[in-house]
Amino acid sequence: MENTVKIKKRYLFFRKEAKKILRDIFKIKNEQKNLKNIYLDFLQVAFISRSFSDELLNTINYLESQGVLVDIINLKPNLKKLINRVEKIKEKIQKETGLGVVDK
Amino acid sequence: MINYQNKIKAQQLEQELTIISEKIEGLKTPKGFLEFILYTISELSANIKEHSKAKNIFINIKINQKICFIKIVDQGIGFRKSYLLKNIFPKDDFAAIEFALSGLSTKNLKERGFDLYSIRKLTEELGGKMTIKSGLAETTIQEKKISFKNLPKKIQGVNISLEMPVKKIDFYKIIR
Repeated sequence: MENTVKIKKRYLFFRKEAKKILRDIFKIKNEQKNLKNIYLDFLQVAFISRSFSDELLNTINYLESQGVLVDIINLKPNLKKLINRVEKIKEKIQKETGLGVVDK
Repeated sequence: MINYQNKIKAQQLEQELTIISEKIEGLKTPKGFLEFILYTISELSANIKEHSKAKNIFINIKINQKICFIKIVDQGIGFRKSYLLKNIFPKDDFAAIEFALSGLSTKNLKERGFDLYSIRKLTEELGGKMTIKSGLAETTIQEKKISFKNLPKKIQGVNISLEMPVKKIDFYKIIR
């Protein structure tokens, strides 16, 4: 599949790893000025931390604000559950504080 | 069964966590417990990396069929100083620990952390014990009660230990 970033680690613990994904996507975006869609392939990933999930969602929101849609593919069901949980909490915090998540 | 004990440098943390996670993944545990251990270790480690400015970290993990024990100690700046640097003013070390347990992050609000809050709730659900030491304060949570103790000597950084029975837990329902 074109425009795919393959995540090559089995465990993703820290925010910096989500920030690295953002940098990788920007490299692709710099090569393809009309980039509208990008796939993140999590096939090799067995575990993600809450911190990583939180930062990944920040990254996805930021990219969407830049006109790039992100699709996560091959995500294991338990990791999807965690990301959904973190996303719900972020939405709740946004509602409570009135703060957005896009700020890089 | 796991019996892991090591003092590591902060820059080796990711590498060491990978080794620990591989060991933990190989365990046969009740439903939800594996997620609990990996979540706890990763979030405590992320806190150290993001807030503590510690150079060295001590990790001790013992897991058998009945009991899980996790102890993570950093020699960083401690909770109170971490908050003070972000213009949040806990009156003492006890207040700083309470802030951390309530989920108040030293980061901005959009990255508000619930790391210790969730770990506390998970530990309580498992019927375990959580002890946090920072500065001159020691706080223990057990059987949904919180108790406080003055430490005779100020400790550098944060020392967190958890002990709980190995049993089934509805992990995704509890985390915040």
